[in-house]
Amino acid sequence: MNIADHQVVRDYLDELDRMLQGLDPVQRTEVVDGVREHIDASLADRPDARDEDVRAVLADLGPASAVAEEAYAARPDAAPATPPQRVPVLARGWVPRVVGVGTGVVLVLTFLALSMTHGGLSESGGCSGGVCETSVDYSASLPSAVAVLLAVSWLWLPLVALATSTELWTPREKVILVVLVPGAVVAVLGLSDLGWALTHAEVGPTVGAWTGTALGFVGGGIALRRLTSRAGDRVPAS
Amino acid sequence: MRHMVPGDDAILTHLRRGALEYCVLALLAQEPRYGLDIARRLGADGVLLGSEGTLYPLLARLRRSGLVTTTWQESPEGPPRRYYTLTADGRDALEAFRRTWKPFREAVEMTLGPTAHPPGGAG
Repeated sequence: MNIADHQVVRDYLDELDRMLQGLDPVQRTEVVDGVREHIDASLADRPDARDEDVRAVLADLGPASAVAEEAYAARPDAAPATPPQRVPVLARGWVPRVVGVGTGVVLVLTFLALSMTHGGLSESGGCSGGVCETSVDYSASLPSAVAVLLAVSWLWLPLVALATSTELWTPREKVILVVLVPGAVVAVLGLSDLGWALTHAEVGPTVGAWTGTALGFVGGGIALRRLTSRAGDRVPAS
Repeated sequence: MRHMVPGDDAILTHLRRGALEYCVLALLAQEPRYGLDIARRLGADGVLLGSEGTLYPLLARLRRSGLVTTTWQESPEGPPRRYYTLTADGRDALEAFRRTWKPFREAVEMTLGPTAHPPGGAG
């Protein structure tokens, strides 16, 4: 259910945002985000929420003016002992951008490295007595996998450290980000190995490698884009 | 929501200012919770929270003071949710409130009493 589909909700959140103009921008965004998430969660299990469901949720929330009044309220200890808190450095907009672009670069480098190993295929041939034969051989891919990952680790490991340290992704999303690159490598080489095992001919590893590329690199790229965009939405404005 | 006479509202607002954020901290003492969960628990009788929306400025203040932090967690229904968690400072603040609240509440109740006695009289 997309709450943005409901004009009443948009109007409510817009009104709230307007009323909070006098607040510190970080606080204002946090309050509006909190209320929006409240509405999202209330209607999460009702994908075709009717207008009266939405109005009931807004009625329980109360008037935007009451929320604004609470936000501006003088507190018993009005002057905070610490200065207004800035957005933590790992929750800022640069984090998803750096992880997204950086991991994208790692994926491209990894793909190039893998394609340069020619999928482990090699040909040898000989001619004798007018008959020429070529045979195809395929070598194990594990050394290639390790070599490729080591080659990109200087860029990949800091990105993984950054992705796992930020609050902008859930634990499950962080797992996806960590396995994304090694997963792509394993997909290409693993399916290539499988293709050889099944066919003992050039076609096997070739088809395997292309399938692995589609799954690992293209699929990985799509997942990366989606997760980066989600984290971008979660960044508090500053 | 209980029907309140005008005048009660102003008093209730002031009382909430002193105690409500510690109630939020107390709800987070056992486990992290997401906003809607906290709002439903506190807002049920209309006494602690006038309306559910007033929770969110309070949560923003608690984050700014470093008493709570937030994380994103997967949720069984729908997209990931923001969960609020008590920090070490938050725990300390809650404990300090617990220590202070009991004597305060008892002193107020004793002073209000069924019938007020002059100082020095039997309570």
